[in-house]
Amino acid sequence: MSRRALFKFRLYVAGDAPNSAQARSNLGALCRKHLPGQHEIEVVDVFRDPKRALADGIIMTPTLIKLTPSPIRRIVGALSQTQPVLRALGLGETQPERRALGIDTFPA
Amino acid sequence: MKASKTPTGITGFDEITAGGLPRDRTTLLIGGPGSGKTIFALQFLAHGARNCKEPGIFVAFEEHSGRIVANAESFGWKLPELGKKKLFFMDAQPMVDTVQSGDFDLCGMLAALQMQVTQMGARRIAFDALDIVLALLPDPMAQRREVYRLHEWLLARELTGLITAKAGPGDAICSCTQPFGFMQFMVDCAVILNHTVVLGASQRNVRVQKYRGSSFEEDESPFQIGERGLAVASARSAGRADPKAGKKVTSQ
Repeated sequence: MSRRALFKFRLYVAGDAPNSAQARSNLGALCRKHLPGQHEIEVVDVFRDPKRALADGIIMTPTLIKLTPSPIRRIVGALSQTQPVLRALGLGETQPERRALGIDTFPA
Repeated sequence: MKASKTPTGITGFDEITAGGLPRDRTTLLIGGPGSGKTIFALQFLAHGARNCKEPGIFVAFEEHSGRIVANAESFGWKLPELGKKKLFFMDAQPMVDTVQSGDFDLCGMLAALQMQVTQMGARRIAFDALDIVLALLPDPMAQRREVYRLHEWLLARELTGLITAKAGPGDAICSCTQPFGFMQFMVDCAVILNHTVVLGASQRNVRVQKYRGSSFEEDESPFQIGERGLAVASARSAGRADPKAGKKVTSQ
């Protein structure tokens, strides 16, 4: 996958719930580190916009949807474990040896 | 003061509970796979929507709502006729390819449900197979927190709630099993469905485990899944008068 592709994210949050706030900051940090200058994040609050939550089938919050590049992926939770998130986003293949050793590549 | 009740329309069940489920409160329905939980929940909603002017919402955590409606077709409840304003299905099955990382909650679902409840003036709501979504939560504390959140949400909106959950026979008896043990203490009413095979014969039983503010038939009662849905053989109704009724019940 091209590393220069634009990553479009939609993050569903529930007001200022702690896990939603964590997801926001974790996503921000991850994008700054792994996707500088090639990401867009739209944050949708389910309490303000329940129609969109229903239309997108959002059951759990926070939910991150990666809209582009394809395939569309959904990640549920505060995004506190970075490796599964990177793998789901197609960004995890770069350092297999570190992963095998159980070393988290993020935060540095 | 007598607890206010709302009828389920399930033959025999309204007799053993002297009127149905506790109105504006939450009932937990526990049973193993194939014990009839989904049919019970659907029958309760269909009866409310059709006969009690109580629109309902069915939240499907396990099976897709299309399949649930198709499976129920043989009971002749004519669910599609009711329309979305009287009986709304919300598909809430976790997507198979969903990746989970860290803690989450059910606020997304509750926000969407809030909108739906207001729009249609829903009075009854069933959460079918809550265990499915609870199993995704990272720890028992998070599970308890979400069960508590759901219960508070239902109480605050004065909805008559029915939560179904899968549990083996051991789980249902041992009330310390998390998180359902916790739920059994919390809810106003708990009902257990049991399906066993005795000497090659299928035997279904329903037992009311607790019912706050109400007397109820404490013994197990046999039930069938017949042509019109669930039908419970109730000793309080015709059962004692007719010796045959305790063994076999016709659906109507």
